[in-house]
Amino acid sequence: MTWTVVLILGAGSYLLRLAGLSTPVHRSGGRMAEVLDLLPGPLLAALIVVHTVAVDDRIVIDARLAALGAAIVALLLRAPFFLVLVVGVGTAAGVRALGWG
Amino acid sequence: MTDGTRPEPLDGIAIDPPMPASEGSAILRDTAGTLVGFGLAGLLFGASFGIVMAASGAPLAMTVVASAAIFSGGAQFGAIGILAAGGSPMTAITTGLVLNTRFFAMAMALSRRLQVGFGEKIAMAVVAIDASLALGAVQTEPGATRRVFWRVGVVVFACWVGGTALGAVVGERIPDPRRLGLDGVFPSAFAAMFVPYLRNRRMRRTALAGGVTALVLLPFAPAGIPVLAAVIPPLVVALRRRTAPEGGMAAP
Repeated sequence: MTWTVVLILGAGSYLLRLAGLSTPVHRSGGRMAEVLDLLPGPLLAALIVVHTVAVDDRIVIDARLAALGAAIVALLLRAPFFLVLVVGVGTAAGVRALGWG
Repeated sequence: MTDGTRPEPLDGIAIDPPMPASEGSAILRDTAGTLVGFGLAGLLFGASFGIVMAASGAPLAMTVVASAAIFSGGAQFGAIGILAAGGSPMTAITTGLVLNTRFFAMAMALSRRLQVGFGEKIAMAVVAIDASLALGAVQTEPGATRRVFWRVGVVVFACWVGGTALGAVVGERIPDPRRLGLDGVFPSAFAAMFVPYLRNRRMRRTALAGGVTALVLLPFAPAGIPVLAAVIPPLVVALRRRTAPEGGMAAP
């Protein structure tokens, strides 16, 4: 790592965040408002995919998929948020302890 | 609530569109649990970044500044990986920025539910991360967006930066977060946050399209693009609705 990368990437990342927060979207209606209200769903879905099966640009099935499955079961059983996390983490740890992924 | 009981808000006036108190948002009120889960994961994954940086010979100050300023596991590990593999600084910066562009989109979605001044936004941008943005954006009660965003953001930021410093100083004695199953916290937490966004058929289909897009692009597209491409389904839906505005919108 170099200071150049840290500082430029850091400043750029900060400005992306600030620009998003500062766009006066609550005044804009219609199409834009609709896109923004729908947006977190697909973004979260994509994040789930990436955090579950991605290792760089490869698809790898490992303990994370088991964690997701267990978390979904916990959600269907209406477990509180923290319990969902515990179930996911515990499942991933258990699967790894058994030597799979 | 049935569809007939509430008129559709007019375009442009819908500052705070109807968000029925669903099962999902009840789950998300458990902020203490969220904080512990994300805090612990941030601490140990931050530590693993610190360990990798220290091993590469980076000074402590650079390591800590990287975590505080970039504040994104994907971009930080991505940048160090690219540089270690002989990639150019330009590639590392570009890849990191593409990965972090999702924060721009998510921050826009959050800011729709936010009534704060620019001064506060300057501070909020420091701690804007997947967890704080998504959990903030999904809150239904007045003021909850701002409160939840700050709590989650500050805790995750402190744990991430603190964990980084700890990892750089203490090194290998810190347990591997993967062995503890802590990489399982991300799919689990995102799945739980996801529930309130599945309220109606349109939301479910848009969300599914986002997930499928990411999965299909993953083996081919550069880092960051699979997640960023998830903005396409909502754009398509909104554009199509403009051409056929007879209001299938509130379909349950």
